[in-house]
Amino acid sequence: MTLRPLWRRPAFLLLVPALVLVLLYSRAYLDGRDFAGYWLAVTANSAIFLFISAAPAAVSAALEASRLRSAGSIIATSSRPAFVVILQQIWPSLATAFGVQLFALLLLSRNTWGAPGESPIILLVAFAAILIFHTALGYCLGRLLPPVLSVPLALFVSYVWLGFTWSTPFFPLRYLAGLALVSCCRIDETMPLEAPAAAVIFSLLGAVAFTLIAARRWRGQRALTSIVLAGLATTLLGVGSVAGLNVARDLGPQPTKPREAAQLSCEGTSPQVCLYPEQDRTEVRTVLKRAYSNLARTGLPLAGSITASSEASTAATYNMAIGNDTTTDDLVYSFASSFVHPSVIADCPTGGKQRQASANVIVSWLTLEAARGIDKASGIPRGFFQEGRAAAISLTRLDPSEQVAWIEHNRRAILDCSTIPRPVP
Amino acid sequence: MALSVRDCCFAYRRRPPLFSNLDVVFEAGRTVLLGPNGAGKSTLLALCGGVMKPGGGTIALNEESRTTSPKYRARVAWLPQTVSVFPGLTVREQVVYYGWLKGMPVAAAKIRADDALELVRLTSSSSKKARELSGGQLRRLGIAGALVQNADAILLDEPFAGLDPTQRDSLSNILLALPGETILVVSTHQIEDLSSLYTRTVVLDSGTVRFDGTTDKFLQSGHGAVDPARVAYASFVGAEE
Repeated sequence: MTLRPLWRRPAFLLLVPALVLVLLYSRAYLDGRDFAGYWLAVTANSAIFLFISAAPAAVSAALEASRLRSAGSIIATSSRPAFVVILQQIWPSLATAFGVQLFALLLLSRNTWGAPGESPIILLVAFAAILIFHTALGYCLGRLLPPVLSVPLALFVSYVWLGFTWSTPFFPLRYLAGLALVSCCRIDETMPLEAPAAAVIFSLLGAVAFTLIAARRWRGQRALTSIVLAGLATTLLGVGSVAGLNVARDLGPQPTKPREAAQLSCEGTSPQVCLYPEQDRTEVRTVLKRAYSNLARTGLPLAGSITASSEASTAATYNMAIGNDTTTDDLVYSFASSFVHPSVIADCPTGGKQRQASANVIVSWLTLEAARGIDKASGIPRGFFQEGRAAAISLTRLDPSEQVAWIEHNRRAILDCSTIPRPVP
Repeated sequence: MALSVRDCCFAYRRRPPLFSNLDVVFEAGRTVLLGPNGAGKSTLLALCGGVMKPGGGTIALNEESRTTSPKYRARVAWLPQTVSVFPGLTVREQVVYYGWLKGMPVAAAKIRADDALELVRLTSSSSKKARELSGGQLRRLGIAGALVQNADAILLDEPFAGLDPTQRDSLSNILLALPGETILVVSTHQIEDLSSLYTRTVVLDSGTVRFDGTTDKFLQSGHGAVDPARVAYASFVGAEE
């Protein structure tokens, strides 16, 4: 049973606009298809919605606190502990913030439902801690300042803390606010535990510090108690900052690290196809095997395996990106383009245009050949590689051994400045 | 049942001590606390209400001597001169909130709030916003807050200040209707009708108890005068009051 009807609590009044904002932002900028299928990436990317969920938490907590501020004598003789009274005031703010964040995650993950795995608990804990921090921050401001100042300040500080820290060149600081979590992860990457841990440590200690400041002048406290509480709060905030920065000290601008190869599921020989659980679908393996055998039939010497990775391919394996929503056509093109280095051509003093043109023909030819006989595979590459399609079709009219020789030579030439690319015969 | 103040010492920061070894006991019944401005009436009630802490000595309600303990606070209701309004709450919600703050479950506080509002004759205003109440109604709201928690001791600081005669009568009737076993302490400058309202009188001046006895005995000090209460009062605290 609640003391006041929920519909009159500021947090619940802010719930609907916040949900609408999430919906609009999601439709305009972030529909979740880029990282669909990988729960870690989906959950991490939902961190962007902290911008929307933290605001009602901070503002409504400031409003609730300002009410208590003007009713000081009512709580002066309360027999309930200060933290219980505070909790009674801020639970709608927390519930609203958690609700908005959860709604954002559900919205973002709609293309991921049914995929293997689940949202990492540590990230959900980090979001909860961050929202608790913003609520405590708003509440503290509401206790210290009149509402005309505390409410706009709560909104401003909340936004600045999230936004400013995200753009600071001192990377560990980004992880205290938590918005940097949004930069995680490609399918072959995972998140270092330090990234969410830094946010959790700082946010929780910071929330306790702000709550202590808010409770400092609660009732019947001697000045000494008040000073001790203020000192304790400052110490906690300092310890939280130092501990959080220390935990995040080795992190770069993005909270990613290579995913363990042990999680790959490898099947078959010539090629051996190694996929992460999120990508492991029968049709993916079937298409890749067919594309591989198509290229093998041309006489092109091939590496023995295909691995899901964003790294450059090696002599032993073709590394290629495979998303959850990758179509057959995308898959064939992705496999074909894994034959060229991610930077495509070497940075040579001369012959750049010829090398790029060669690369376009190589990828077009590989896509064309790999797609033969595969249903729903157009054999057309993406982007500027399409410029080589006409030449690639001309190339297919040559003797197979001549085609392979041309491809092999020009593959070397585009990465080796001492080798001159040959024009299409 | 008694609210006892023993060897109580208290001083505001950078000021000379207000109380030095103050001893006073408030027992069940209606007690009036008289004294000039600055005598320490409000401070004494705030100390007994647990809002401020004494520098020394003890304040106890029967066996419970920690004024910050939930048990003590649940049994003592203190109403300052200005009754605060919790913004956004209706009259009934504010009374329920008083009860909740004193440790009652919300459901129980809601039931008792209706009885308390009826006793202070605010039932018809229960769904109004508390800030819409007049000064007299606000005092009654504060008393409803004390009643909802079923407090053993009710401490009212200047409840009659600023009230018109009708509101004063109304408030007096409410105080008279309080259960006899409740310790009611009222600080006031209002010395008319003392005998009809209070059974006991305590006079405080410069942090010292000048008189502590029955109201009848207090009024006897001014016996024979046109206004015996005023004469009795002047005999304890000085003529200028």
